Amino acid sequence: MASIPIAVHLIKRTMGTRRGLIMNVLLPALLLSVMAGLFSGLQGNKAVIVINNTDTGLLGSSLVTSLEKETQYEVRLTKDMTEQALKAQVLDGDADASIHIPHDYTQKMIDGEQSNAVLYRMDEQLWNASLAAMLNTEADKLAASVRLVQNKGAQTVDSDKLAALLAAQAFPKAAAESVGMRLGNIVSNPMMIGLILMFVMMLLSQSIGLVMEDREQRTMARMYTAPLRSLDIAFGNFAGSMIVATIQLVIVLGLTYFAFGYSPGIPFGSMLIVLEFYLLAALGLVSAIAGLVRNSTQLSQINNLIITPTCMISGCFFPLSMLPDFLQRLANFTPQKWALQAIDRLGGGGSFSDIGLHLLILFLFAAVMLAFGSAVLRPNKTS
Amino acid sequence: MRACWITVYYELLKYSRMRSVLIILIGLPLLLILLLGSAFDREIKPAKVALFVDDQGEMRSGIDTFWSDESIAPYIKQLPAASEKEVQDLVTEGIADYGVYIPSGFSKRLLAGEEATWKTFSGRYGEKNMAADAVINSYMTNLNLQLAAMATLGPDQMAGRSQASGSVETKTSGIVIGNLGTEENQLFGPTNSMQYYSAAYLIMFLLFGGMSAAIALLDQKESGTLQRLYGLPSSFGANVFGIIVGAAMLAALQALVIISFTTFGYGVDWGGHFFWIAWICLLTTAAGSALAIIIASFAKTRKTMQTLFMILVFVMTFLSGGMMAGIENMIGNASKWTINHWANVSLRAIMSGSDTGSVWHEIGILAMIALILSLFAVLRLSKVVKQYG
Amino acid sequence: MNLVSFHEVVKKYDTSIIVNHLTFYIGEGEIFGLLGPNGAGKSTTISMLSGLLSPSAGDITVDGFSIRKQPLEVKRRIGLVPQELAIYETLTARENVTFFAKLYGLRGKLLRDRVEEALQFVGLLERAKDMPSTFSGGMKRRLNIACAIMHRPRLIIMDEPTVGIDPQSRNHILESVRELNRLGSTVIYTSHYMEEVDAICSRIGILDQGKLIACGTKEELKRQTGQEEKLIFDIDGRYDAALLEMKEHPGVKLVEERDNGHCLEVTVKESSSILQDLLFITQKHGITLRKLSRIEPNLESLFLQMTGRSLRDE
Repeated sequence: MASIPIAVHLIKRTMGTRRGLIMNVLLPALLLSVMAGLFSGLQGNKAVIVINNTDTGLLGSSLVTSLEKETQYEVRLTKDMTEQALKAQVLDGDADASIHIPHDYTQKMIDGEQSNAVLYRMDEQLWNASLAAMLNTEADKLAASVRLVQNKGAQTVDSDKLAALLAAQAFPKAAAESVGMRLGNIVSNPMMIGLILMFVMMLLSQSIGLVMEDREQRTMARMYTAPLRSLDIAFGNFAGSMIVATIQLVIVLGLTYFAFGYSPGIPFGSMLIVLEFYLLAALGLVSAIAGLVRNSTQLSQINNLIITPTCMISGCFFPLSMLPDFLQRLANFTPQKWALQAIDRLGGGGSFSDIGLHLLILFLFAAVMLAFGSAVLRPNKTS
Repeated sequence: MRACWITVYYELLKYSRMRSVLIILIGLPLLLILLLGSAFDREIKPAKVALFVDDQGEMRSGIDTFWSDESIAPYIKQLPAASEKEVQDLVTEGIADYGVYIPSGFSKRLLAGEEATWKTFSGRYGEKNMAADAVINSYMTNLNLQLAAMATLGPDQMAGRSQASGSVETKTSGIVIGNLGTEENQLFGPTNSMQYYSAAYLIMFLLFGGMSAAIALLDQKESGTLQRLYGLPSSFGANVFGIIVGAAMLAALQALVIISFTTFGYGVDWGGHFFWIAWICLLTTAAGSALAIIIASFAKTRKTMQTLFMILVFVMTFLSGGMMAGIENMIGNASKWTINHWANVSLRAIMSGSDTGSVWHEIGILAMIALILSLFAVLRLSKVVKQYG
Repeated sequence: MNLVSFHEVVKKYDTSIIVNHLTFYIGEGEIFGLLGPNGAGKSTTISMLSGLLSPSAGDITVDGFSIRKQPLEVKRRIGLVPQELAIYETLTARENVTFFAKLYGLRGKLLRDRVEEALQFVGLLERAKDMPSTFSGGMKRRLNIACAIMHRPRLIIMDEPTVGIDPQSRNHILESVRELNRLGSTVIYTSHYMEEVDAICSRIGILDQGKLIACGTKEELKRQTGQEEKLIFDIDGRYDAALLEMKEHPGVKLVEERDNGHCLEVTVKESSSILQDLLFITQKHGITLRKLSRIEPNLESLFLQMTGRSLRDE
């Protein structure tokens, strides 16, 4: 096959040099391993909530029980912390929030006074706003329950009735039943895969840059004077770029999978197949860009402008849902987004039939872009 | 002196012709500020909940009222769906953060005294799930309270008290909230995300801009024009100085465009004190150029210098929290060894309007760094500009 | 036996005609010089021959194979030394040659031998492990040649291979061309330098504005244009009588005095038949002949005469 030497040649030039090896293989692997190390400790931790229940009445423990039912929090119970110590727990990062239930909590409820339970947190965030809302609901429920059993006109409470009412609510008739969803954790936590996608795209842009250099320096024309067809050269360059990126993928992915123990819950092989589709689309994108610029220097500059921002809006570094809606829609035009979603689905237990659409989109993306950009890969017959 | 200004003029002329370089030095930071600033906005973004109410029973109106209640709007944004399957799909797709399906027999079963459930579909993001759970919980709690009251106290009790239970929804605060975080230990400090990233990327790209001096020197050495300058009957030092000043003026232009664009385009409040901001930019540029020249004196070729310098700037930006806010807390004091840190901190202090006395400290350190690097760069400069040095 | 034949070859871009109905032949074993000013269509012609461009009309055959129908067979038989240094600066000399050799399908021991041979031929064997970035201009040009000959092509096309290099390397290259020819390759050689073409080419074609305005051996060309030769007599003593007598001779077109009468410049149609007569005249008049030299018409003046323009006038 006449294309083989061309492909091999391109591989040598991108990875065969010391600089290429460092920049394209070692640096990405190193960076990813640092990332893996930094984030492995951070992921998937439940928010820790310390509850200091000093209430002497019924209602305090009722509040605690309802909190303990929530599975998203890790609840730690104490009885004898001072408020100062509770604050310190949050400030020192030992707990994400702490709740103090004072000894007269029940009594104040019965007296119809303002509740004095306290929630300490660093600042308002969605999760602790939810916690606060939940505590509010619970407190309101308790207050309402108290009022229901309150003797008319008096500040006394029939405690048997109250206990019965609370007990009845402990086994609620109406409930929300969570349907087990198997969802991937890539879209919500894309950094590792996202960085790989970025590195691969950078490497592709580099190899397309070399192909452009070939055109400028007329070495491509020289190749064409050998007994080769134009298609052989185009295919050699195409295959070379694909193989280069695949080698980088296998090495970097292999290191993160097997050496650093990163596990996104997707078999190595499936991951590689999805990423191959992404490679095709990314190669299409880069070569289409190359078709628009005049020389390889411009290409590397333009790619700076395109690669990092498209990686950002496609959700490579942080979840897509953090971005404004119009940017989220824009992300549909980037191959990174579809690759991440496909990987995410696989991670959620999906099979290849579930990501057929994603792969098709990547493939079509590649086909359209390569149609624009393929002129870059082959010798120009008209000039 | 005249030679110097002539060189400056022609350097600027050359920069004005490099359109793609200008786009990278000015357009890219603006783009990154916009993207990161809006992504890490600290405003609470409501969870998008896909909802399908199949129940047509007596509680339907109550359910509708609940979902359209103003009080849940900050936490929940509804996405109507047409079937249970669609709810699930929207969550799987990631279009919705959470899904709720209310089955058709819900009212009927409950009123018949049987247990009944809503089906919920948790999505990918923990905190959005919590928010949706909390909202649903408030409905369920209220409902269960009424059901429990009916069961234990009898229906007549309930009827008389319905007004009381209705007041459950009026938020008498059931809990006191203490926010312990002071401004300094929050993620972006006293500034918002847009201000935070505007400062970080202004500094990062000023450092890049500073590199253009070293690039210009090495390029001119490689193409031989620097040698030609050396042969002229004017001071060679003035020419070299002119090249560096040209790069510094490019950086000044960068700063001017970035600051004014973020001010008027993104509404970033730079906090006034433009004289101080100018000083910070100047010192950063000086430190960046000096660092690039020092690296150039060892690296010799433009490509090596560029690669090394870019890696260095990326690492410094990363360590100083320019890519992930809050990284300083994870890596200890490492950020204090970066140029970016001192520039960022002082810019943010100006933005948040702290008293100028405290800014002096950071600017002072930045000035020290710039001075030391510049002195070293001057010593190494001849290695960069002389053909055989 | 013709190795290369151009038949009514035309190349058009939009409306302008770059190569206009070119028809000529190059025989096996020739060194064929292709001359012409910039923009005459030399590079286009060569690009079409090597398959980089396809002709708008007409056909070129090499060894009987059509460039249109069997381009790969044609390419197998040629080696192009392009005008630009089409080599990889980041590969060693040997890697450069090896890469292109592989594209010709060479492999194994044959590949290694041929690469060695090519490097040896251009005198770069000792520097085979070095990067071209450390090479002088001439060495790069030689490497440029090595990359085109390792497959032992029947036809070697050299497009201005000596542009901008030192005389020593230039001589080396000219010598290589002769050597390649001696070893059996047919060579097509284009150059701005008339004296190079003059020195090494057996046949010459002159292109101007896309047309072949003359083609043949040097002698044929001269005959074709009726160019004269000059005989220069360096003399001592009185010459008036001799001068008159020379002017009378039917073979002589013009006689001019130069250098204060120490030199006579005689323009003749063809020197060999009348040299005897002229020598007899000088002897008869007792003129001391210190030196006799003959100036052949050169290609430069030939070209000037044909086109009214100087070759290197750009």
